[in-house]
Amino acid sequence: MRRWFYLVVPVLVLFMVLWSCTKDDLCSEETPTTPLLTIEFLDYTDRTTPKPTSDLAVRLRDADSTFVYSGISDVSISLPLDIEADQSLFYLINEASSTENLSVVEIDFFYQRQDQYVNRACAFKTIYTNMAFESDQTSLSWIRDINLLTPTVEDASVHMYIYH
Amino acid sequence: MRLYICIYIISLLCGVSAFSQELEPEQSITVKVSDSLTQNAQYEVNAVNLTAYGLRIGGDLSKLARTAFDPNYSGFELVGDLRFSKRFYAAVELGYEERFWSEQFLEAQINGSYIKVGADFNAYRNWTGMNNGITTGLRYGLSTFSNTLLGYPVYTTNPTFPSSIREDNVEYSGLTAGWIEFILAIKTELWSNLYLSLNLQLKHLLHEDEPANFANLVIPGFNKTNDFSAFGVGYGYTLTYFIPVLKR
Repeated sequence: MRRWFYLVVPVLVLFMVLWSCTKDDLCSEETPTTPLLTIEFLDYTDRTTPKPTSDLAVRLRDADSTFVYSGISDVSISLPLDIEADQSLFYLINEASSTENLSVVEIDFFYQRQDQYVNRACAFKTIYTNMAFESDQTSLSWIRDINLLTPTVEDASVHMYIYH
Repeated sequence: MRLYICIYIISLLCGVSAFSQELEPEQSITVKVSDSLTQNAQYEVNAVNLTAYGLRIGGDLSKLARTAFDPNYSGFELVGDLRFSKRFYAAVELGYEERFWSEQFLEAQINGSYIKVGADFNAYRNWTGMNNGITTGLRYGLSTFSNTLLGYPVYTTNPTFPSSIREDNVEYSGLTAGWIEFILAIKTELWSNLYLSLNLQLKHLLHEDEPANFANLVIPGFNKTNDFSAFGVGYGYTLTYFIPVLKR
């Protein structure tokens, strides 16, 4: 009888360990879920040099002009895209807190959405395909040129260059 | 979870108490033999020494209890084994399960039936006249089921655009999955030919049909699957009746 405990005890322990495994109960931050559209800001004249924005604000072009970001002085931003509609409309406002140099550019994204299963904890993400954009940018705007690099947004790579 | 632990502990206690009761009739036999070496007593011992072969059939009580108390579960399991040698049994389990399964960001309904076929080895050496068992066994399990994705919000890390719950009710039917299972059981004879058994199952998924844009979060008979390993667990608490076919 005693030697059966040598079998029973390890099996019970293994059973409990496997039962209580909760590794896949939490969506880990490293897991790629719904991607953001990553924009890199480059210098308009020297087209390969990153150039940070100064006090950039991003707002939605909705009734409330909802803030997405404010006070961004960085060489890149990641914009969320609407997961309930096939378009996302933004204002990109440079030097947003300034009263004199404030300059606004509208940029609108159009796309198709697709829900993809990720895993048990994160469930589903949305990826965006057939990306297109429109902008009211002119030679007088703070943004001088826009280059969309990829038709699909499904990972964390750079998707767009904005020259200013 | 707390319910399962309670069932588990209660069933362990039942198993242990049933075992301790079983010792009594054996002692009375020993006394009889040593007290009087008459031919009658000798004959009685020989008769008990014969091994009964036959069919043991029954059902799983824990699954009926879960059906009664767990609103997300309904199912049953029929079990049977056939003793074909002194220590080996051919075993089969047939079951049907309907499970509502919810994770933090999705809900699904999985319905299906399963069959498990294999053999048990009784490692417990009974004293004369007793028929208890500590059995280890192997099974191959096969399930056919349908998996319906009931609803989900899209997982997003940015709060700017919140997601609504999408209730598309996408059904993936005709799925199959197979696994190998190690089963450890304690079987006690409660009354003549009536057995109560507690078992624990360790499973390893061998094959499964993955839905095109979803996963089998739970498989009837296999229980919860795991994203990071092929292992699964299960338990059973069965009541079975032994129908003797021949003694020798």
